[in-house]
Amino acid sequence: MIKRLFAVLLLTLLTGGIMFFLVSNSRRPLDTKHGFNRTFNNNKVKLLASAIVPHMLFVAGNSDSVLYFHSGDPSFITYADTGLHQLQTIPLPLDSVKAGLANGFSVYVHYPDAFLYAYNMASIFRYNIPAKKLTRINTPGNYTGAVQISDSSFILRYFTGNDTDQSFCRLNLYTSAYHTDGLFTDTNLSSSGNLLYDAQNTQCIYVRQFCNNILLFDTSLQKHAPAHTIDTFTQSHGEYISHNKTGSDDMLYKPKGDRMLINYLSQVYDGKLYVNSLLKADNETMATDQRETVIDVYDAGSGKYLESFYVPLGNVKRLSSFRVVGKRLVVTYKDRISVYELP
Amino acid sequence: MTRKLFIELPAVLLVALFTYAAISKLMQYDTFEYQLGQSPFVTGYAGLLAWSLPSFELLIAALLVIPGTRLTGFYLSYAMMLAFTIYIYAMLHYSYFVPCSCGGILSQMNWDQHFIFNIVFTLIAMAGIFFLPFKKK
Repeated sequence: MIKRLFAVLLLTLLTGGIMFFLVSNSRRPLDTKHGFNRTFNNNKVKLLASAIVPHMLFVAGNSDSVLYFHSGDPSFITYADTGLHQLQTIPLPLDSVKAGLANGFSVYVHYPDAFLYAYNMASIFRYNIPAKKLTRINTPGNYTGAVQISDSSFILRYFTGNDTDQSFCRLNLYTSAYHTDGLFTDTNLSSSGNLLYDAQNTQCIYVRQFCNNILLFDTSLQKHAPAHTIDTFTQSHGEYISHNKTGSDDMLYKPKGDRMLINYLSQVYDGKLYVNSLLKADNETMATDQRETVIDVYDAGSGKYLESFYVPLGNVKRLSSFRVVGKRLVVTYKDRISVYELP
Repeated sequence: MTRKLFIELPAVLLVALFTYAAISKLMQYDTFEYQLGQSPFVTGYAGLLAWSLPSFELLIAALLVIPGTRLTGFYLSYAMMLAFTIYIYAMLHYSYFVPCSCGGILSQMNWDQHFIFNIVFTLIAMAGIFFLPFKKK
């Protein structure tokens, strides 16, 4: 019996040691100093309203008094007043296309229209909410990002049809005609990012998620001076491998090896760019214990860093989405929506 | 009869668990490898673990089935279940991202339920070690 007890103790120590090594090793990149500092003037947001939701929601748009959200189900959108007093839904007649979406979609509401970006169907579905009229707009190919720049135009980041090459194009909503510029072609899927439209400076912003590069370009797809987020990650820390799905011609792209997601979510509002970064700055004592996440603020026109502030995370690891609406910050989490007053 | 069942039960439960877990991982090999790649703790070893983990689980199940190697099987079961338990605890407390890497019915559990489940099976493996009759010399 003593022998067995001794063996169990030895196994416990050995297993504990191996797991300790794995865990501490995995945290090393997060605890490493990255060679940049953040500026915090008034770093706390103030909670104004919060609502528990039955499923994860993502901010889909807003008007002055209404917030719109979408979920993982494309057949409805949720809306609420800015005080989140009552959440209601609007059905979207998209049952016939649901299967083709394969979870690769998002919804943008610009009342009276709700646009469903069907990334894997080379289409944008436009649903006029009061008229209950659905129209389908063909895009030049499957795409990974879309943003409305006017009543008649969208900028897309789409697959050009040459393997994993992605480029930007301007799409006319009514004619499906598009204009593109090969200068923007990326061949690497790890160049994933968030495509935004800065109405104040009439420019598009593409914030890369795996490196600190920010692309700024006008609506004619002419590049502006390059910008970057404050971290020091100049190279993408992502690598993808492709893989043929069994019994299908579809290609499935999977990440390979270590990845370091840097700029997770981004938004632009009133000439300011808001980036939810997952990297810790050297002057932050708060480690990665996930009670708060940081949002860095930049001047959208020049890309100049202005300041940072924290957003509470509660019991989750990350935000699901966020949107700046005037002086308010709307945040969705896995199980709730919160509205904060910006610092 | 009851005593024999009590002695055999840990081995039966662990064989069922490891066989089921290994087969469901192998049947969804691509998904399993992808999910391991997302885990911050083992992302660098995803390729190796994707095949070695189910192989090891099947090996343990085989060791538990053969009476002569059952004690070794219990030791390895204990180490394996303890490692899974610590892994989930670390995931819940120290990970910046929480993916799910389990297959079959086990993937229906949330992380807290999975944590409890693993503790129970760690204790079952430990019970197997101490309740297994000693070999008569």
